[in-house]
Amino acid sequence: MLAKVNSGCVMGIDAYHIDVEVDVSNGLPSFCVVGLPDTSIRESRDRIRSAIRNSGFIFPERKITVNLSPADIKKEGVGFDLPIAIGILAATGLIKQEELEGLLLCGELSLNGRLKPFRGALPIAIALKKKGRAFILPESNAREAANVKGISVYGTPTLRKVIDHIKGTDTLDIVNPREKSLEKKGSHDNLDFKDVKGQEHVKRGMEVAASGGHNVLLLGPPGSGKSMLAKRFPTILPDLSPEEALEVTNIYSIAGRLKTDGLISERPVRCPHHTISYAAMAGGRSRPVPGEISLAHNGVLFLDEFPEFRRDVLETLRQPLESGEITIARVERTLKYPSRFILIAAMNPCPCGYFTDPHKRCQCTPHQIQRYLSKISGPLLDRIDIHLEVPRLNYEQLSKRRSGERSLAIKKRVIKSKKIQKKRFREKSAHSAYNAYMNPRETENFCILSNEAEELLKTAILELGISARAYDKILKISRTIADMDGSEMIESHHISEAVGYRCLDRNLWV
Amino acid sequence: MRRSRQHTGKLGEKMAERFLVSRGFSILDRNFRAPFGEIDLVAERNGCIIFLEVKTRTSERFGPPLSSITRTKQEHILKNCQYYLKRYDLCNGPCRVDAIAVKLDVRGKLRSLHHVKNIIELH
Repeated sequence: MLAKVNSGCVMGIDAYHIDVEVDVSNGLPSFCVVGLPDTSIRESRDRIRSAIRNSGFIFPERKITVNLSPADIKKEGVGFDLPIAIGILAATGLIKQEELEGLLLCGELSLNGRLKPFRGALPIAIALKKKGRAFILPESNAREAANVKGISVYGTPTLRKVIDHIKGTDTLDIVNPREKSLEKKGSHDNLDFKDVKGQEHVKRGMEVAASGGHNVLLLGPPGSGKSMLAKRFPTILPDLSPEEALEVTNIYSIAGRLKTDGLISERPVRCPHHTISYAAMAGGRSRPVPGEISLAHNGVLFLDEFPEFRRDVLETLRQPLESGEITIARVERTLKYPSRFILIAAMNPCPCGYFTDPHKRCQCTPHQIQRYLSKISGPLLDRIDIHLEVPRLNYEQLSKRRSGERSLAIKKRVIKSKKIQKKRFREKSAHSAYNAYMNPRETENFCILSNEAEELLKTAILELGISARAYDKILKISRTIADMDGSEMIESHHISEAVGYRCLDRNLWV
Repeated sequence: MRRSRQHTGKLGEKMAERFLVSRGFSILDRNFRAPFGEIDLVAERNGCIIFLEVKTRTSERFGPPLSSITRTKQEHILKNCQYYLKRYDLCNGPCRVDAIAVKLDVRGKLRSLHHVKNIIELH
């Protein structure tokens, strides 16, 4: 007899509808799964057999064939245990096919019949809500999926309860999403920009970065406050919109890192150590798990000791900084993960750190400095919009009692600038509506310069030998500065401030 | 004089048969000659064909009876059963392969009988 159960699986960042077909026929008892299952699914046979027996049902000693359709997608994960078990019981007549209509089932089974959580419940719910009216899954995954509107979500602890629910003898309750889905947790409460003394130029630069989505490079001697400033950067970013929150929660669900039940409400901040591997940064090699650059999507990626990162690891940043996504190509298939983040890179100007320090003497040879700085390739440096020097503060500045501006005040201004950009880029999706991501046509349309501004820019290009990409960046940064100024047209003082943020272009450096 | 191994085996098969009949099985065939040896017993109950491999032992010196059913032996049993099903056109019903482990004492009296269902692991 044949039975069919609706289920789904995740591959990369996308979820697919999978039909689990079960056929029980005559012949010597066997149990095989076809449809390109991976090892964990092939192993599931023994789990399913024990789970069915220990739930009080008879496991048929017949020829059982399970097909995971479509058969040419490689299936991964353990979420198929439940649909296969239900399919087997349906094929032996315990459950009628009509009772399975409109149901989606996913979940891992343990040997005693309890349901265990699986990765990717939220993306599967989003992708499959049109295919069914009810989603039955393990209790621990239920809240995550409950955030999707248009489908009833039932969380269940055991296989037995699933069958009781399907047969109608003991229905489960619908799981509702957390009331305040985007509750503000306030883990950033103890960090504030006002903790940092002085460094007004740097703070201004970071405000520009936050307003326009520009990447930042912080250069300075040890102890000048680079890490401190970088860690406080998220406090001036606008809160996640519901669309952005869903994207982030999706990625974390697939990565198996979803700790809360509701949607993620704070912008992710990733601070990988400089010893991180290529696979951890870009995304898994054998198993396509999101890497740090995807976990930082819609958030901040902070790379301290920038030149200490391995060169191949740094090169993984190129594609995300340019196109906002990372393509992982493997033998069987190519996967695309979203990867739109603000990069904050911090580094010393030379190996000992004191090259630009007015007081301490630098111990490095020119060759050492050259080698240190050349670790970051030209093209990579070119993609970082804003370069900020973070000088060492002298005693007077450090001991000043008066603290700086509060993060909340800066954040309010950033939100205002964000509103202007949202209007400007109304066709674009939330995470791309920033000046930093303008394509050449948009740059041409929206960056209108006054005559003085044009003159100033021309002079800057001639005198300072600025590349075409740098020219493009200056226009985008000055667009952001003009937005912060409430000005429709880009004036010369906006240009001059923007040029000021490109200190590395000016060949004054090395 | 100590009776031969064949005699022990035949004794065990007789006891296995008596056990099955008492449990409601009907015996279809005994010692069926097949390409890879022979099938000790073929029985039927409730429409299901059951093939039986009977292992008789008088001592545990060479291990428990069922441990002699190695992977190769399993493959042979499987092939034999498939041959039988094909031969008698019985492919349309459920079937399985069981084993019966018979322990006798030196005089041939029954000490224990153990019926194991479904010994073939097919994947």
